[in-house]
Amino acid sequence: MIAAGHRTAAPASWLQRWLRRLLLLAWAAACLGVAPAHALSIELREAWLREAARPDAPEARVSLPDPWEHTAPSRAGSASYRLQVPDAVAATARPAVFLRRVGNVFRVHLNGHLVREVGREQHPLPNYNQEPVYVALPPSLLRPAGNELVIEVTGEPRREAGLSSVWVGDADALEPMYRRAHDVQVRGAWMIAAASATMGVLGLLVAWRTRQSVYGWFGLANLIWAWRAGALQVNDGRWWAWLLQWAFEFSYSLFIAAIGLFLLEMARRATSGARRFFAGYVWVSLALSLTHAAFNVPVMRTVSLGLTLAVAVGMTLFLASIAWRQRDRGAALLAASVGLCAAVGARDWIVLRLMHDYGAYTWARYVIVVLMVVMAWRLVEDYGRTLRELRDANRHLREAVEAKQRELEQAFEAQRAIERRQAATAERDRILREMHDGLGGRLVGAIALARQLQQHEAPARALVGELRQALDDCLVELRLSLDSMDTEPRCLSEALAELRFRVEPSLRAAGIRLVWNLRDDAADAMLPPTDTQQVLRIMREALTNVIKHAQASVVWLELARREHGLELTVLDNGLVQRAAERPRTAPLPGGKRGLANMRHRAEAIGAHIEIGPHPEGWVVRLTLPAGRCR
Amino acid sequence: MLTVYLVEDDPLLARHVLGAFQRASDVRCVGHAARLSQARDELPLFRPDVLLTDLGLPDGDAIDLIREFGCTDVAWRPNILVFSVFGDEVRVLEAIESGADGYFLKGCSDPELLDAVRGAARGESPISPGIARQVLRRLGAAPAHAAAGGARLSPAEQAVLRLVAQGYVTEEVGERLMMTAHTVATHVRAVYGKLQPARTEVLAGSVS
Repeated sequence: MIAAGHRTAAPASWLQRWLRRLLLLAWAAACLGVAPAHALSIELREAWLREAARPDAPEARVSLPDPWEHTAPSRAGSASYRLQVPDAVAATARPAVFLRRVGNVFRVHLNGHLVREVGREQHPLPNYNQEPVYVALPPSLLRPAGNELVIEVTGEPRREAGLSSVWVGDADALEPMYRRAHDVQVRGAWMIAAASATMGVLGLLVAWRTRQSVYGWFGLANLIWAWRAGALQVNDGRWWAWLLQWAFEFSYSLFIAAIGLFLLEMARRATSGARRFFAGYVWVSLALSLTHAAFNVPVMRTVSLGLTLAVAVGMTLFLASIAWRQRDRGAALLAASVGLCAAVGARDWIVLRLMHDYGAYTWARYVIVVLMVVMAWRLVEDYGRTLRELRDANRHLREAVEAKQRELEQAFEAQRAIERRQAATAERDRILREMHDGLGGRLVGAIALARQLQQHEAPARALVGELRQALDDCLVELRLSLDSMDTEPRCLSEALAELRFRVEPSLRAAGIRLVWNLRDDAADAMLPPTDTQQVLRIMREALTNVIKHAQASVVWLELARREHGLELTVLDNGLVQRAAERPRTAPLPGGKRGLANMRHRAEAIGAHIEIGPHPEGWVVRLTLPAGRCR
Repeated sequence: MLTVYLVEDDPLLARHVLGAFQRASDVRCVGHAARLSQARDELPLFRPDVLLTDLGLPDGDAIDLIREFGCTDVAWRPNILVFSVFGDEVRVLEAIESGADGYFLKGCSDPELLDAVRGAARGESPISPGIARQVLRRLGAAPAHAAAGGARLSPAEQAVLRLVAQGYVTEEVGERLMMTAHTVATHVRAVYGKLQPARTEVLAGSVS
C-alpha cells in the first residue's frame, strides 16, 4: 500500500478525524511548512508476521498498526514484522524510517543487515514502547528495488508490545514527523510532568497552610499525574519494572479519585457518601488492575479504564445538574472542564483500548492543564474573596470601634449626669444644714425670746403671744418643708407621724389633746410622694384650724381603709358642738381661705373632702380613692 | 440634785435653756460651753449626770465629743441628749450610734425640756417617729448588718418602734402593747444600745 503525503491512519470516528485535523492544522501553523511538499513519505500499513514461538507456522499477513498484545496468541517472546519497502525510497537522497511506536525491545534489519537495535533481550524488558523512533537507512544497503525491512519485536505480557504503521521515505519528510511525534510524546510528557509536579507541591503547601482539603486533593492528583507522565519514559527495566507498570495502571484510578474529591469540594458536595463512593471505585480498580497483573487479562484494564470513564462522565453530569439547578457559574465551569476531560479520556479509551490503534498517542495526559486552569481560577476566586472579606471585616471592625466609642461617650455622659445629680444632692444637703443651723436656730431663739418676754411685760404680753404663735407656725412650716425634701419613700402613716411630731407641741400649748388612731390595715398604705405632701398640708391646715378657731379640748385623728379607699378623719369637740347652729367659718376670714385651700388640694390629688359639723363637733374627712394608693 | 452640762453656741437659746434650769429646783446646770474644746476640758472635771449638746459647733462636730464620752469611759459616763433644731434623723442616728442616749428637739417649752433631762437621767431615751423609722430600716430589714454588729431587734422592740414610727407617743404605745411607759422606754433604750456597736463591745468585754 503506497501513498504520497500524510494519510489518516485508522478508520476512526468522525470525531477522531475532526480532532486530528484540528490538531494537524495547529501543528501546520506552528511549523509553518517545515516539511517540503515534494519530499517523499510513504506509510506502510501491512506486514508479514512470524512469531518466534511458533517457527513452523506460516507468516501471517497483518495490517498496521498492530497491537501485538491483543493479536498475538501467546503475547510473549519475539515476533518479526517483514515489510516491503517501496522502490521509490531507494531513489531518495537520504532514505529513512520513522516508527511512531514500537516496543518493547526491537531490532530493525534492512535487507538482512541490522541497522538499529533498541534494548536488550533480558527479563524484564525495558519499556521503550512510548517513544517514536527514527532510523536513517544507510544508502549502501539499499538495493534499487525489492528492499525488505524486518522489525523484530520482543514483547512481554502487559507491556503493550506491537508496531505502529511504518513510514519510509526521504529524511526531509520524515524528520519533521519524528520531531513532531517526539515533541508530543516525550517533551510534552516531561513538560506536563514538571508542571504537574510544581502544581502538586504548590497544592499540598497551600492545603497545609490553609487547612483546606480541596487543595490537598488537587496537589495529590497532580503529583500522581506528574509521576504517570514521567513514568512513560521509564526505560530502565530492572526487577521492579513490573511493579512500576502495575502502579502506573492503578495510579490512574487514584488520580481520578483525588480529582473527583477535589471537584466535589470545589462544588461543596464532598459528603461522606461521595468519599465512600470514590473509595469504592478505587477498591474496584485495584481489584481489576491486580487481576490484570496476575492473570494477564488485558480486558480488565479496558474495563478499569471504562469504569474510570464512566466515573468522569458521571461527575460531569453531576456537576452539570448542580450548575443547572442552582444556576451556579462555578459549577458550570467545573462541569465543562470535567466534560472536556471525560471526552478526551473517552477518545483515548476508544482509540487505544477498543480500536487497538497501536500508533495512536494518548491525549489524556494533557487534560491536566484544563484542571490546572480550574485550580488557578479557584485560587484567584479564593484570593479575591479573602480580600473582600478582609475589607468587610475591616469595615465592621471600624464600625464596631465607632459604636464602642459612642457607647463610651454615652457612658461618660451618664457618669457626668450622675455626678451632677450627686452635686445637686450635696447642695441640697448643704441647704438643709444651713436651714437647720441658721434659719431654724434663729426661729427657735426668737420663740425662746418671745416666751421670756411673755412672762415679763404685762401690756405687751398678748402681742408677744401672737408673735410667738406666728413664729411657732413658721417653725412647723419649715419642718414640714424639710420633711418634704426627704427622698426616701415613706408610707402615709409614717408621714402623718412626722406631722404629729411637728404639730403636737403647738396642740399641747393650746391645751388640746390629740387622740391618735391609725388602723392596722391602713398602717402600710403608700401614696405617691406629691399626694402625701398634699395630704399632710390638708391635715396641717385642719389641725391649725382646730388650734386657732375650734376652742376644742380633744381632737381625734383616724386613718382607716374603707371599701372605696383610704379615709382620713380629723374630728374635734370644738365650738360647733357647743354652738351647733353657728357656721364656724363665717366670723373667721382666715379660716375661709384655709378651707378653700384644703378643697383645692384635695381636688388636685383626686380625693374627696368633707368639711362640716358633726354630732360630736366638727369633722374634716378626706377620702383617697383606692386607685391612687396601695 | 441633777447636774447638767450644756454645749450650745447660740447665745439666745443657751440663755433660754440656762434660765429654765435656774427656775427648776431639782436641776442644776454645772457648766456651759459654746465650743467643743472647752467642753472637752471641763466635762471630766464636772462629771455631770446629763450632757445636753448641740451637733454643729463652731470648732467641730459634737459627734466626736459624744464618741469620746459616750463609749470609752465605763467608770463615768454622762447620759447624752442630742439637742438639735429639728428632726435631722440621719445626723441624730449618727449621734446615737456614736453613743448618744436620745434626741431632744429645740423649741419646746421649758417643762418639756426639763422632763426630757429628767428622763435621760433615769435612763430613758426619747425617740421620734423619724428615728424609729430609720432604726427599723437599719436593724429590722438588714439581717447582714445586724449580724455584723451582733444585734437584732426583739419582737417587742420591733413592735414598739413600729408604733412610734406611726406617730404614737410613749404612753399610747404602752397602752396598745399592754406595757408600762417605763417598759416602752427601756425597750427604746435597748434599741439605742444595739445601734452602738462600739459600746456593745465595751459592755460585753466588761461583763466577761
